[in-house]
Amino acid sequence: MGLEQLINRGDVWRGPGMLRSSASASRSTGHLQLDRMLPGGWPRAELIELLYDQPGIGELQLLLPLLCAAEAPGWLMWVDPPLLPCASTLHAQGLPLERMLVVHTRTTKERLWTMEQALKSGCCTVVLGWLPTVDTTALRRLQLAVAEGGNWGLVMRPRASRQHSSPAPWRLLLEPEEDARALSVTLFKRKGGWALPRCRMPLSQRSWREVQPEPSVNSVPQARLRGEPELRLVGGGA
Amino acid sequence: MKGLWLYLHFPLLALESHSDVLEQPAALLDEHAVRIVQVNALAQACGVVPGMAMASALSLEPRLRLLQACAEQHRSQLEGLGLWSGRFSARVSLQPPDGVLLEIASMLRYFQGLDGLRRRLRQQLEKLDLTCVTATGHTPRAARLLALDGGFWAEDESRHEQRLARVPLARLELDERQQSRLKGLGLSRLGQLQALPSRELAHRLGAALSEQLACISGQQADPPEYFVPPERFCRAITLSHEVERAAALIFPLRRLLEELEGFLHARCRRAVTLELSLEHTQEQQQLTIGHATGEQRAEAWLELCHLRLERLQLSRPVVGLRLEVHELRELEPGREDLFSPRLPADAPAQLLSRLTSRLGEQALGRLVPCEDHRPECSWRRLPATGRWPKEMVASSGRRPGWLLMSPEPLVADWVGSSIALLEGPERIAGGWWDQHPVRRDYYVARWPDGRCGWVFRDAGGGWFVHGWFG
Amino acid sequence: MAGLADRQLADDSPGARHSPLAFAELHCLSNFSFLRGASHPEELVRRASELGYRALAITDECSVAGVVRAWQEACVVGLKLLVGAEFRFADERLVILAQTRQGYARLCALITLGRRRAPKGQYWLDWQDLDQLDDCLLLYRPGDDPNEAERRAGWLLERYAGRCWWLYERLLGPADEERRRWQLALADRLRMPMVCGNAVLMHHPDRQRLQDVVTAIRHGVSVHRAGFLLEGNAERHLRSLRKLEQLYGVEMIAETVAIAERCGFDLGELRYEYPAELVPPRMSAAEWLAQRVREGEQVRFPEGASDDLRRQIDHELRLIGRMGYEHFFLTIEDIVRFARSRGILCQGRGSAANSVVCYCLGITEVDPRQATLLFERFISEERGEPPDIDVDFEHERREEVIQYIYQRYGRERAGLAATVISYRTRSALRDVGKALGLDPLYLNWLSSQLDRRAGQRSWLEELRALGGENPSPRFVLLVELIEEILGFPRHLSQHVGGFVISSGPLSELVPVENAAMSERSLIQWNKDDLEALGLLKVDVLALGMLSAIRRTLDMLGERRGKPFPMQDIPVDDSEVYDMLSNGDSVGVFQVESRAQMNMLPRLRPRCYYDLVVEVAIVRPGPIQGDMVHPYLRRRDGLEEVSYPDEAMRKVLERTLGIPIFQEQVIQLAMVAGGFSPGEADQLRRAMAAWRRSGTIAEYQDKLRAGMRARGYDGEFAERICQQIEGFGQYGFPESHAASFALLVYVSAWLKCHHPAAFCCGLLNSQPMGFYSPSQLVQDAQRHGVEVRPVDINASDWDSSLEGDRIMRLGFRLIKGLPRDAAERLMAARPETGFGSIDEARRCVELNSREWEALAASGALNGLGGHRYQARWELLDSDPRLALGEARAAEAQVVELPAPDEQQDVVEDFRHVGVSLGRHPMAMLRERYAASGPLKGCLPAATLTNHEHGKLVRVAGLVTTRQRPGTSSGVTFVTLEDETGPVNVVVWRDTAQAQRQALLNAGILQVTGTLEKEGQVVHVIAGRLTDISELWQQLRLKSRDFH
Repeated sequence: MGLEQLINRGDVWRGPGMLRSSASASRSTGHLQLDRMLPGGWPRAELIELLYDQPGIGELQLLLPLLCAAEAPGWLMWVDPPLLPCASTLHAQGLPLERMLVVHTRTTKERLWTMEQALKSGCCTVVLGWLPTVDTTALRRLQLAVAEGGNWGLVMRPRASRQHSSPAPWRLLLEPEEDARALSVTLFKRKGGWALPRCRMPLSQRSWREVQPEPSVNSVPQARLRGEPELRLVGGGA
Repeated sequence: MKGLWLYLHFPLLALESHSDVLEQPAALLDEHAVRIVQVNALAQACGVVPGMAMASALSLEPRLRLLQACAEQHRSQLEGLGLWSGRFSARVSLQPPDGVLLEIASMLRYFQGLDGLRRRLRQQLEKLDLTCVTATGHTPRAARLLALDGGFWAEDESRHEQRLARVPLARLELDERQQSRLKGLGLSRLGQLQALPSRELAHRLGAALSEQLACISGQQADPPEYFVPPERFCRAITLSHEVERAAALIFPLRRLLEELEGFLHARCRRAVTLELSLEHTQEQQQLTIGHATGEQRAEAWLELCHLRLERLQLSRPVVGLRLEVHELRELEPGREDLFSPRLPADAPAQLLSRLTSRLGEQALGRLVPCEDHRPECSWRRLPATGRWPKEMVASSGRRPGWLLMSPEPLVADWVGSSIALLEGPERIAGGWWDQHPVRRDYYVARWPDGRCGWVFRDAGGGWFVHGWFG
Repeated sequence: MAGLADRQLADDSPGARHSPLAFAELHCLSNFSFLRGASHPEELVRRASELGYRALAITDECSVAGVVRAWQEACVVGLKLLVGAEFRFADERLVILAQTRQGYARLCALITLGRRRAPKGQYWLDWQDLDQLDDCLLLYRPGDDPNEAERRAGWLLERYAGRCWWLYERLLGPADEERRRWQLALADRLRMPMVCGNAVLMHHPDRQRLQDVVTAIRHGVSVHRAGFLLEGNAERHLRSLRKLEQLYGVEMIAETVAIAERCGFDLGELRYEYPAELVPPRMSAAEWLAQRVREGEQVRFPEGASDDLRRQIDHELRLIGRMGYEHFFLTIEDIVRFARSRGILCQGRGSAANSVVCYCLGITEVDPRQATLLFERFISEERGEPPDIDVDFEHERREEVIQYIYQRYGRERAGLAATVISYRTRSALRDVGKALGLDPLYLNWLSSQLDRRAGQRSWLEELRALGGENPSPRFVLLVELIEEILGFPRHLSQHVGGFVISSGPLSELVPVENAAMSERSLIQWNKDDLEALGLLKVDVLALGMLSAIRRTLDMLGERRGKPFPMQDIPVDDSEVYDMLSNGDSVGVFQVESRAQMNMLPRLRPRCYYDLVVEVAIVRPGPIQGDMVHPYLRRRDGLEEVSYPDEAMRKVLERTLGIPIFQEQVIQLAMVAGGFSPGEADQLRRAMAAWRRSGTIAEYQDKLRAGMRARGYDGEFAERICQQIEGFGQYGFPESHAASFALLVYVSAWLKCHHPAAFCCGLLNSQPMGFYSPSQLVQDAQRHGVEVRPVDINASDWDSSLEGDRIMRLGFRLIKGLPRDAAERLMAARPETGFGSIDEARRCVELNSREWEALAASGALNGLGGHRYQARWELLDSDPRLALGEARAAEAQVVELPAPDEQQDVVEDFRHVGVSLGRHPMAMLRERYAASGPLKGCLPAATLTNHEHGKLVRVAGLVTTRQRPGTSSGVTFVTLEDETGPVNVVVWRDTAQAQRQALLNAGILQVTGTLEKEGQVVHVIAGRLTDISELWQQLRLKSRDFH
């Protein structure tokens, strides 16, 4: 076995310096702390797993810098997203929608086949796949496909899959913060290093003002004019 | 420039090229949809006359079917006729807007005389379902004048000249002023004009008129510009209304195949594979129809297409047909190897075609924002390839990353207690025009565990989740 | 997190108005911001008052066009109205409110500045233009750029400290929260007072659909594709007080009332300031007016006015003095005097004709001794409204009068009133249909199925019926939205002749903007607005008949060597009344229409007052009120005339007991119903506006009560009320009829005694009247006038007399021959005339088109044999060039065949519009009478010999097709043959069945039954056959569907 395969096998510890060398191959996540934890950003040609259960915790904001920075002509492929990506929001945030492909498959087999094809073809800069159930052999095939394609492949899996081992070199756990103003990220498996503790990542899009309590609470008259809905006001006037 | 010419005049070409116009009164409007330009026989019976305003035509015949003239479509129809008449003469000349001129002196022996040609011509014209007036003449312009004036068949020159003398001057298609000048002189027939001394005529009414007279009588050469059939046969028809059943495509297809036969005649070739594409509003459906040894006759191809169309289940209504010939073969049977599929060249197209072939057409698409305040109508799905709108306007408000396909109800009591409203309301009311009216107040809400969603309260007071801030 | 308390925004029901809050909406647009606002000014005011607002500001976009209607409604509901305007600068808005009369003047000046700089319908203003806005309050609503807002607010604070506010508006739109955050912060930092507003576009949220539609119409797209052009929600409406309180808080709401209180200006303050220069120095207007009246009196009553006339004049002068209208009379007298000095015939009509003062000042011609005048109708103290004077001028010389007014008072002190062009049936169907994305071909088909002239109510019913039993949802929307949009203003255009003249610059009284015509300008109010504010307006109108009469009188004066003024025409000449009684009234003013021609032989007018009745009786009002037949029966003595009492007799005596004139209805209300003069006139106004306001019911009850109290039996009262209903808006004022009757008599006298001169007068004043030149010439020929064709050597520009009964057609009839070409020709014409075409071409320089027009009209026949030969010679090269001689040597002489009689008639009609040859029907009858379709056709003149009910067949050229709104779908067709016209009546179903023949035939053959009543003859059409192909070229242009 050549030195190269030995190093790539992932179980040989290499000094932090080593990671720097492939740093140029990664793309910043838009957050300084996270970049330091990762080799300078999302690593290229290596399968990345994001673990979270329900949408709405800030997971998209985490991926936006990577997606927006994808230069032409590569595709951005979303395979079986749980919900509908909102075109106007993504457009407003600078995502190149004309190169964003959304694919819906019928069975897991088809989903894996699609991701593999997309990753191997090399013409998809970023492939995002939502895989509620997947076995390790499939993950290994995806890892090889990412390596062969040389671009970015991210897989979204439920939290419970943390217990199972996975060939993916990078695995992150995402959890929401109580005050909904940040997202906590735990890099519990990384290439060439021990797991890192939880870190709190502020979400810039959520600058909602701290709400001060209202002096008086008015009763809610039920009378209603033809079709005029009662308007529940937040924050009140000046 | 004496000889024998045949002029085919199609007075209602623009109107009759629409397949479904034969059974009901129909009229063709000019480009600006103001005046009637052509009327078919049924419309004429109800008193609709070319030149009439559309409103009065409609008041005369409420069920009148109105179509709009379009110059580009018109030109391609004429080209089709040029191809079709390839079977009668090698030298064909297109005379826009609606005429075809053929040099037939050389073809008389092939058709055993003028009557033989006339019989053959009438047979073929039946199949085209086009009204046609035919006339012969010893010069191109004479033939054209006689065709415009109702048609005439003769072989010797003197009978042509007698008939020409009775042609009204309006047929000369002179400009307005020249026509009123001739009317002012009391001249109404071509014969009266030809009687005047040509030098005085040229001096008083201008050289153009006397030159035109010379071309008619043949003293001046007037060679027509001949029509050269294109290298590859590729013809298209847009249907005047959407067709759901495959069988209904036969009528327009027959006309395309007729033109193909004319083309093959002119080229002395036989077609081996035809590529028929059915155009839907956004995509097309390709059909390849092959023939073992190659075939020229329209009927044979029609039969093959008929078989193939019967088995076909139309996924979307068809708005247009395109017929292309991929492989031609010499008339004599030559040796050819059978078809070998070409390798697609570029990678992305390759990836896409592989994905579509496996997952199906609908599985793949792109999302584009559209201008509508209602979230569920603020996006649209476009195919993976094809045109992309130049500029898009997204709504300026705070919108979530994820949208639910359909809003999920929410327990009203939680709102305000466990689920906190952070921001809003943004009131969206409208959409009354397409039977999908909406009256909602949208808020940004925070779940106990820190998730942020986009909720709304509808007119009835119910709470729903419509999106998540990813 | 602590449980969040939130507040509930109450709904908008008026009932929920229990909070004692006071609020004034300061930013509200009506539908006079064309295609932006979705409610009428009146609706906004009524709704604001319902919601308990303290005040409402109408702030249309750079316009005050809607404020007067709002003010009228505000006076009714007792709501304070603020006058202002909104100005748009990119996405920033500025609302300017007028505090005082001076502030209002500054606002009007600013609007005028912006409007006059830009083409019609737009305005251009820049922030620098807002430099002198004293006595105005400014509300600034920023756009979305905080820095721009900060700079602008700073500039405003420095220029208008204490008079400008930050306008904060919460419309619950997409970016509502951020905007709220930075605006509140910025306003606090700049210490700029804040006030709230709602940029109102509709009085109630239900109007959102219509607001979307008008927005779509404005941008020329359908609502489906309008996208973000449409408002996101319906929040821009008049909100309830509770909702406002939650949105803005008490403090900002109180500020709105504070601002409202600082605006004291009320539109009622606008007083009319008359141009001063009319009154000579050192004299008061009253003295000068009295002097002018006395001078006029000498002229009008040379033998001295009777005592009661003197009393009437003094009474009128006193009333005019008390109301301060002297300047108004002097202005009009000045204009009329100018017209008379230039020999421009003119005549005042309308309510002014009730005043003896006007008669003395020469404004009106109605002699008080002949018609009873009702001065209350003209000026009534109780009403306090200004008098309404319309003055008719010769239609070709009206422009001279308008330019005189502009030159005398200056462009900035005289302007034309506006008319508001609003949505009517067809325009509403087209625009709303397009906005709903319906296919234009389908919309055209829809409108072609609907009868345009039916009233709006029945038109809507017909449209709804077209939808079928279960119409598509989009069709239901179409009908509902059309119903809502009918009556919406679309743009301002120029009133036909309503002038406003003021002492100071007009733009300080009302904003002035550009009209479509280049050098014209119009004010932003229409004549109803002016009337409501008591501002004076002078109507300068055009009347074709006055030109025709003046031309005829000039010709007669010329022939007899001394001028022939209208006053020289003898009064009550019985020959004239005989002529009219035979229905021979072609060309006579007002009584030449078919309906009048049928009425004349039944009414048989014998004196001036009969003509006054004739003019007024053939109107939809009397016909609907069923007063024509009873009047005729009483006139022929078939029904005895009865009056319930002496008072009634005095009112109705002159019309044999049947009320025909509006004045009579007013007098009845006063006499029988006990109305005061002012109340009676309110009844008249309600009758006039009955269709729109529908407030006539209350007057009718008052009238019934009044009559019962005075002992008139119920049946009589009921008939009077029903007749009033019939009058509606068609009742014709006696004063109008009296002025018109004068011209009827003068034109009839001229036709009777001088048919040739009268026909020339009519021909030279075309286009006017009911008949085409060809019909006028034929009628003259039937009265023994010899008419000579146009001739290069004999004709003038105008048709002229060559003898008492000999007429020469003028060059003006030749199509394609401009006036200057004819002038040049006549100037170069030698005494003895041109010998040949070559000689003429050498002497006169005309271009080839003009020579061809002359030849084609047959004017050169005298020189070149016939028109074809003449045109052939004209085609030869111009003889003046040297080359001409050499060429002539070997030119072959060509003889073209001459035109036959049929071709001559065709060429005459095409080039001159009049043919002196035989009538086409004469030629056709000669050829086809024996065998062809004309077999058995009776000539028009012989119809009177046949008895009533006989089956007859007639044929002729179709000259008129007429379907008056009042007749239930009956079409009146006039056929013309060589002996005269035939009146054909086609019932609705006959027309429907043979629609093609009726619509397309140029020459029509009619088989039907003869209907005869005295001398009046009709043919009730049975079968119609189109026989035009007999003469296919001669397609006479008939006057279709009046």
